[in-house]
Amino acid sequence: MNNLIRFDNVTFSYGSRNVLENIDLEVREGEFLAVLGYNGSGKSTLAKLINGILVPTSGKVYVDGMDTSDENMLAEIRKTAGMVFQNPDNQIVATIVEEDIAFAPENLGLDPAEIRVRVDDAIKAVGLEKHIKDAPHKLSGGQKQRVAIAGVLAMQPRCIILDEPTAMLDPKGRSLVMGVIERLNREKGITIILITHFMEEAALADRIMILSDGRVAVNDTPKKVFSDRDRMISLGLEVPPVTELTLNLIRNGLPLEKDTIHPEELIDSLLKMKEEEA
Amino acid sequence: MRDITLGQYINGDSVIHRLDPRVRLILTLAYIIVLFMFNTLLQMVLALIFILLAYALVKIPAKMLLKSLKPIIPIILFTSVLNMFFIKGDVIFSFWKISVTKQGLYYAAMMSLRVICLIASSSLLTYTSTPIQLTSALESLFSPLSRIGLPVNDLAMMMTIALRFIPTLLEETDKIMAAQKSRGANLDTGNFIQRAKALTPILIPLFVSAFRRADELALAMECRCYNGGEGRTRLNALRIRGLDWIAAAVFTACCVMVFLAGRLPL
Repeated sequence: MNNLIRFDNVTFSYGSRNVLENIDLEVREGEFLAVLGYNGSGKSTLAKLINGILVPTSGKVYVDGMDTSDENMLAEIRKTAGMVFQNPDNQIVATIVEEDIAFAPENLGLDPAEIRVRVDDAIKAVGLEKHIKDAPHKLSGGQKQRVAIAGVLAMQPRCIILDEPTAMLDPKGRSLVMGVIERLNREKGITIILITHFMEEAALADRIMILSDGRVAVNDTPKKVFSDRDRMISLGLEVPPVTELTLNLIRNGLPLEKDTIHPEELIDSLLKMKEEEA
Repeated sequence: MRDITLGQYINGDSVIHRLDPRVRLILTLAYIIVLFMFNTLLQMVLALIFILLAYALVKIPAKMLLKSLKPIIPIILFTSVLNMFFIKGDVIFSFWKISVTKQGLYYAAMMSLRVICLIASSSLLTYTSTPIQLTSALESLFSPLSRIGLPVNDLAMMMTIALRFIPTLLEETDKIMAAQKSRGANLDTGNFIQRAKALTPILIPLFVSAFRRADELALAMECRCYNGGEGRTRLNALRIRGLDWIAAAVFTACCVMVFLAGRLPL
């Protein structure tokens, strides 16, 4: 498989303080990677290193083979790896939804007809066709964040980096945004790098990387990562609520699997147990 | 405050709404210039009829027109009175040391009509154009100036962002005011200076947050390949169509006719 993104022994420091130290990371094309870590563990810095907003103090970051420290490549890198930020209000530029989504293709100097096609595709991908002519400030937080995702999608990136995209949303907006992210990964094969502090969101990923004090502490599949509860606690994190519940049930004598990370899994095993009893 | 509408745009689908905003802007300017070239009462009345017909075409209720004229009524009255009394000519009647002349009345009427037409036409422009349309019209009309180094595209982008953030910042102001009030800030009482001082704890957080927003927005724009105005294309590029030519032709024809009417021996 192709490595779309590669960190090669990357260190980044603000002044004398190392925010990230000796990071090696490879993300395959089409992979869904979740990045976890307590506040100040260097998650956001990692995200900004990927599309060249920040340049490593030492080491190299490659996006599809392009070196992010090469300024001539920046436009191409940003087109390949789009980025969505936490606060949707601060990334929407225009006063009409469709014009905001058109912003990136307009910057790329595309033909108006091509821009129209891309805007329509992007808005459909996030399910906001009804709001194409609305003013962004009249939308809900979750809708605004989906507009922001569509705005990045219109560049037709191969990878989207999302820096805590659901942190400011209510539960409903959160699940809609996560639904869009999952769909983009599954159906369009877009590589996703999701920085989050919600464990149940990380559980949806193919792989979880945990940062601690600027180093990679864990890099494994969600099942393996979340089945070691003590380690998660020692890293200042927790396990998804459903895993916590399962562990409690196990402690109370139910024969369940320790690595249950999706609510559906728990429901299935409980139903199966009930059937066996009957 | 969430529902504030900028300017006074009235959504509609009239012929005038469908014109290219540049054409609307230029025709409004031309109308205003022509107003100052007319010098007979007949021409002024025709100009008034023209703008009233335009209003009828857009189906804007007369109430809206009167509302936009209301603030200038004192000015109209004031200039009319001055004109009436101070222009010398054939006296109609005198009263103490003041006399009203025929010419005075004539000029007073001209002046009032001119001001009314002026306001009515510029209001019509803002009733039928969104601020964004006006911005892109200005951007396009001033674009030749970018050759002499004026950053027209960047200015238009700034204007767009400003328009985009007005509702966001208003909402934020509401929140900050509520937060400060809940901590006992007294915003509504006291004399002018006291109230101005009470605004400081609202303005400072607002400024800080505006700068933080600007910072994040700049980052997000960079991530979406914004690189200044050069080489940008537009989704909804302005296009002059048949309708625009027809509107311009009708306008010109009306102007010519009214100019000719000015020569009639009346």
